[in-house]
Formats: sequence, C-alpha cells, structure tokens
Amino acid sequence: MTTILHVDMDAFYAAVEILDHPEYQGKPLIIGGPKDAVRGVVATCSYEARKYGIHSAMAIRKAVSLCPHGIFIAGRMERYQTVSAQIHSIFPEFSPAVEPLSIDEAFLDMTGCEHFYDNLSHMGQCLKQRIKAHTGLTASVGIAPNKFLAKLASDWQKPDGLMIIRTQDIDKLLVPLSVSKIWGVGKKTQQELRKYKIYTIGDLRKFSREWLKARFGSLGNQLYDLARGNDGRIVETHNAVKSISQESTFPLDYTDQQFLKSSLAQMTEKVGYRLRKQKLYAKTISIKVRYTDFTTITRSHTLDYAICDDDAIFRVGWLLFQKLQPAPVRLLGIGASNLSANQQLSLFDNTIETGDLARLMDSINDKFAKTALTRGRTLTTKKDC
Amino acid sequence: MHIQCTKEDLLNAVILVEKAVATQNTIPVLTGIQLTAKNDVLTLTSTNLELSIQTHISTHVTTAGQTVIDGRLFSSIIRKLPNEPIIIEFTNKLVITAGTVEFSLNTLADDEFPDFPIPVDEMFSIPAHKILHMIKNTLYACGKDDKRPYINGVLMELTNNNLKLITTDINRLSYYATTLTDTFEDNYKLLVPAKTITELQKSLPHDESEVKVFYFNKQVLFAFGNTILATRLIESEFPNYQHLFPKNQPMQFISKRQILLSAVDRASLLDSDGTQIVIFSITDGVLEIKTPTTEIGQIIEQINVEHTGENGQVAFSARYILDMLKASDADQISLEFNQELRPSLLKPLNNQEHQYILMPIRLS
Repeated sequence: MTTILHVDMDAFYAAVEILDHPEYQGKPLIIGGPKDAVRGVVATCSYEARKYGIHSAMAIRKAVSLCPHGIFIAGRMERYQTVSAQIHSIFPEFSPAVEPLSIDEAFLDMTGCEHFYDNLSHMGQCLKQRIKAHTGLTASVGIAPNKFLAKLASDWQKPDGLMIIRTQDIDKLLVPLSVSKIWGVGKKTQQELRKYKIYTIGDLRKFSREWLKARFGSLGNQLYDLARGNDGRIVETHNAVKSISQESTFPLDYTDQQFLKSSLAQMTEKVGYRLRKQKLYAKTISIKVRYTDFTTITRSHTLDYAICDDDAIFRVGWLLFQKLQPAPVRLLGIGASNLSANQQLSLFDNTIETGDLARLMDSINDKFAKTALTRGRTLTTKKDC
Repeated sequence: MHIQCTKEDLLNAVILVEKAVATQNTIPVLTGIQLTAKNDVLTLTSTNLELSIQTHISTHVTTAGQTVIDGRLFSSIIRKLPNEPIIIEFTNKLVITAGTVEFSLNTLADDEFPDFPIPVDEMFSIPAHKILHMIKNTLYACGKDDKRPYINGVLMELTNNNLKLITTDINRLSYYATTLTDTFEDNYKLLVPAKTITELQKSLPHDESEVKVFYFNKQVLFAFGNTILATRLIESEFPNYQHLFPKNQPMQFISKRQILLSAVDRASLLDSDGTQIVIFSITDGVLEIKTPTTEIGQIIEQINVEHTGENGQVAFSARYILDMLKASDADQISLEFNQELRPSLLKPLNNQEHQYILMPIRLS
C-alpha cells in the first residue's frame, strides 16, 4: 500500500504579495498585469478576487470589468522563485522521494514514513505547519493511495485544506464528480464524452475498457483506470529535464514579421542559454503560436544531430513559423526537447565552433549584464518597447 | 490483346514493376501497371514519376494490344491464380483466365500513361554483383531530411575511368570507388534518390551479368536482363567532401572485423539518452570497448589489437560503427582517430576503395 502526498500552495503568487504587502490582505488581488494592461492574462488571484468570478488564464481586461476596484499588479517572478526554493527545501525533510511539479506544487512518496506520525491527518498537519512556520504561507495537502487521488484531495478543501482519501472512500467520492476532474480530460475530451452522455465519473464507469480504448486510444485505458481511482504512476524523483521552452503573450496581436522574428530570436536566446547552462543538446525544436481567436498550434522538427546554439535553434524555429499561414499572433513560444547530455557532431556543420561561440557569449553576459552581447535580429522589439 | 504466358514469368515481372506503382492516386493512371503485347513480347511498365520500371517477358501474342490495369489488384490476382497457363485478353474489359478461374476487370485510361524513356547514350556498364557490393557498403549511410535533399540520395561520381558511390547523413560519410572498363571525358555528379537505389538493390541479380547505365535528360537508366529502371535525379548540390578524409591521425588500431563487430554489438545493448554510445579507449595495444555509465550500468570489454600511434579515446554512435562492420566483408579493418572531435576513418585494411568517415560524439 503506497501513501502519496500532494502539496499545493494556496494562490501562491497572491499569497507572497500579501505577505510582502500586508495592506493587500482581505482585498481582491489580481496578478498578471496592471489594470491598464491592454492585454495579459491573470496568472493568479487571491481568494477574495475569485469571488468575483476571476480565475487564472482570464484576460486582464475581463478581470477589470468583473472587479473594477481590485488591486492589479504585474507580479515579481524572481521573488516567487525565491520563496518557491524555500518551500521545496522543506520537502526532503519529510520524504526522500519528492517530485516537484511546478513552482508551488509537489508529490511526496510517504510510503513507509506513516509510522512517524499518529495518523495520516497528523502527517499532513506537520507539513502544513512546517511550511507556515518557514514561509508564513498556507498550503493545501492531499494524502491518498496514489497520485491522481492525492492531487484530487489537495484540491478538495482549498485554501488551507487537508484531505485524506482512503481506499474505502474512493467509490463514494469519485462517482458524483465531473469527468473534468480526471487527469488528462480537457475540454475536447469532455465534449467527446458528452456525446455519449458521460458527465460524471459514475457515468464513465458504465463503459468497458475495450469500448473506451476503441474511442479514445491509449487515453481510454487511463479513463477506465482513473475512474476507478487506480493510478500506477510512481513519484519520479530524478526529474531529468525533458524540455526547455519560453513563450510570451504580446500586448497586441502582431502580424509584423519583423517584430515576430525578433521576439522569437529573443526567446531563442533564453532557451539556448538554459540549454547550455545545463550542458544539454536538443534534437527537437518546436514552436507554439496562439492566434487572436485563441486557437493554439504547435509545430516541431527533429534534426539528425543535436544542437545548443541560438543560431541553429532559431533557424529551425523561424522556418517552422514561416510555414504557417500569416495571421495576427497573440502568443509565440519556442522550445527545445529530445535532450541529451552528449552531442553527435556533424561533418558539414560547424557545431563545435558555434557551440563554443555561444558559450563564450554566455560567459560575457554572465559577467556584465544579461544583454551585454546579443544578436542584431533581437533588437527591433527592444527599440519599439 | 490476347496473350498466353506462364504464371511464373508473369509473377516475376509483376514483382519487379510493382515497386514503382504510385501509392497516392493524384494521377489515377499512375496507380496502374501498363501491359503492352506486341511481337511475342509482353511489356509491363509502372511509374510514380520519380521512379519508372519496365520489364519484358517472351510470350505467345495472338493479338497485339495495350491497356493499364490497377497495379495492386493485378499483383494480388496474379499471386493467387492457380499454377496453370494464364491467358490475358483485352477488348473493352481485361479478362484473365487460368484453368477454370476467370477475372473480368475494368481498366484505366491508357492514353494518359506517361511514355517510358528510350535508353540512349550508354555511359558505362558494370557487373551486377560489383555494383551490388558498392551499394551494400554505402546505402546505409543515407539520411532523410527535406531541408538537405542531398542526404536522401546516393552520389554517383564519374571521373576518368572511376565510379564512386558516396552517401552521407551529415554525421558520417561512406565512400566506395571502383575502376570501370569505360572512360569518361567529362566528370559527372549524379545524385540518385536512395529509394531508387534500394529498389535497384532488390531487383538486380547477384551474378556477373552486366548492368548498363544511361544518362540523359536529367534521368538515369539502369538496364539489366529484360528490365530497365529509370529514375529522376535529386536536384541538389552534394557538399564538397574531399577535404574530410582524415590524414595523419594520432591514433590507429587494426582489428579482426568480426571480433570488433561482436564487441560493439554487445556494447550497443546499453542506451544513454536514446543513443547507443560506444567508447573506444586504446592503451598500449589493448582496446577497451565500453559504454558511458548510465542509470542502468556500464559495459566494458577488452580486446587485443594492432596499435600504432598514441594512447587515447573517442566515442561514437554504436549504430554507425555497426552499420559499417555489418555491411563490410573485410577480414580486418582499421580505425584512425583523434581526440580533437575531428572526423575519424574506419576502413578495410589494405583497401583504398572503401572508406567510412564518421564524426565522434562529444561526451558530457
């Protein structure tokens, strides 16, 4: 029997802001951009703001219309990362098997550690108290026999929640829940399920594994198992970096190729820098584009060799972008995946020299300022800004 | 049209031409095989516009005629016919009879079928087994990438009385040169699609018979036996490769090919980051063949080799090494390498005809 704990900070960015600015306490606080931001989306908001119907990923403009007197701020990523590091440094005190999920979330495999505590509820309380004492912030904790149920549990009584799901409670809890609570069920799958009048997990349980597999492929298996509260995923401790990416939402929808080219170049520099810092090489480059109507597409290309320099990454990314139909772009992103610590060298490309040049530029930028050395193609947008 | 032939003759011909039958039917008639009966010869032709194949069989033609029949269907039917003399008739339908079995089929519009090129301007001829040997030792190093069309092909280079086949996937390059009886006044660099060479490899007989090669109109034709294979060329510049041949390498060893092959094959069992990496580390005549240490573990093996030059080590993709060692039939091979991440050279001992240049892997 495994015991998995999921810990999730409550309205993390907002909570950090309230900690630093006690005057925000009890007020609707929205992080994502100033009130007059033409664009931008809500990164997170305080529970007071949520009462007005504001939620993350909502356009700032809409949030302003819902809650005109709210406090709108742009957010301070570096500060959040510092606090995040403090929180993540606590987890190893509780378990050697920690899987960090995001800046404010993690899975802890507590199997075998149960006897250190009076009961599971005591285990959860200890972690919550430790986080509160160390950072002054509240977290919600879910404890269950597997990852899916633990995550479901931590979300159950937010904020400052603690929920234990025991094997005998699984059926009672799951059956009435919406299928959207199942890991892997997004809007599209939900729509598809609706066609068969599947709204709740209880409805989903009426269908056989074979039927689900025939309609949903490998997701079908997942639906069948998760609907019964079965999840075999383990807590992955050695989280090797699988991909490195960068994206940005523009203040306006842009069609101007020159602007898009230079912002892609800027993001490429960040991706390349992170690749080189981690001594990795990528074989697959992908781009992400979101249009005015929020349709989002990704395109990727896999090379026969591995790269880490900005020029090579940019060349692939820009080529992928140019293949798309020109239309106003709301969000643009670039990523590197299929990563390896070893690099197959090429006979015809000077992969060694370009990599060395990029590393040299990195060391100059590290010493002086992030932008001491850059490429001409990144400059258009900086002038515009 | 009215002809009679044996199942064996017809099936062999169909197996040859079906390789060039178009699979996507942008032009419907290209999904067909053209049958032409005339002067006691039945000719089967197929084309997907890149590759075209034509073959002849001697047969009894009572009435001459021509039509095009769905290639995949025709092939399946011939395979499943009973082993009896086959009669093919065409008036407004194609009727195939064998014993008591009869198929009556609609045909495709014959007038839209492209003309097959008539071979003129023979460039050179070469025994089939010889070109097969060259293909076997080069084809594996081709790649696939639309952005670099040259890696999708086999470069046929002709100078004086030499034929060279050269292939690359940009990380390695395989080179095989041979002397011909023909001599060329001009130099030619013909980039033949790897797909064509693959089909040629499957179709050629493993014997001394001659393959005649023609070049005209941006097409290359290979004629052998009763068959002609015509191909379009890849219109792309093959990169300059002469400067890549490593010279005066600081480290060199000679090993029995079979021993090295078995050792690298064992080392390739361990995978790091999706690539099987093999490290050659040579110290005073002992070659250590090992893998990087991964979460799974490590493999180390030592073999005695004939060592000249310095001690040192280099890492390669195990697959690249295995491709070469498996295709070669040399008894002994040599590896010349360096520690500066520059190209290395793997080749049969005492043989300048075949050379295999490969780039190392930079380890973290």
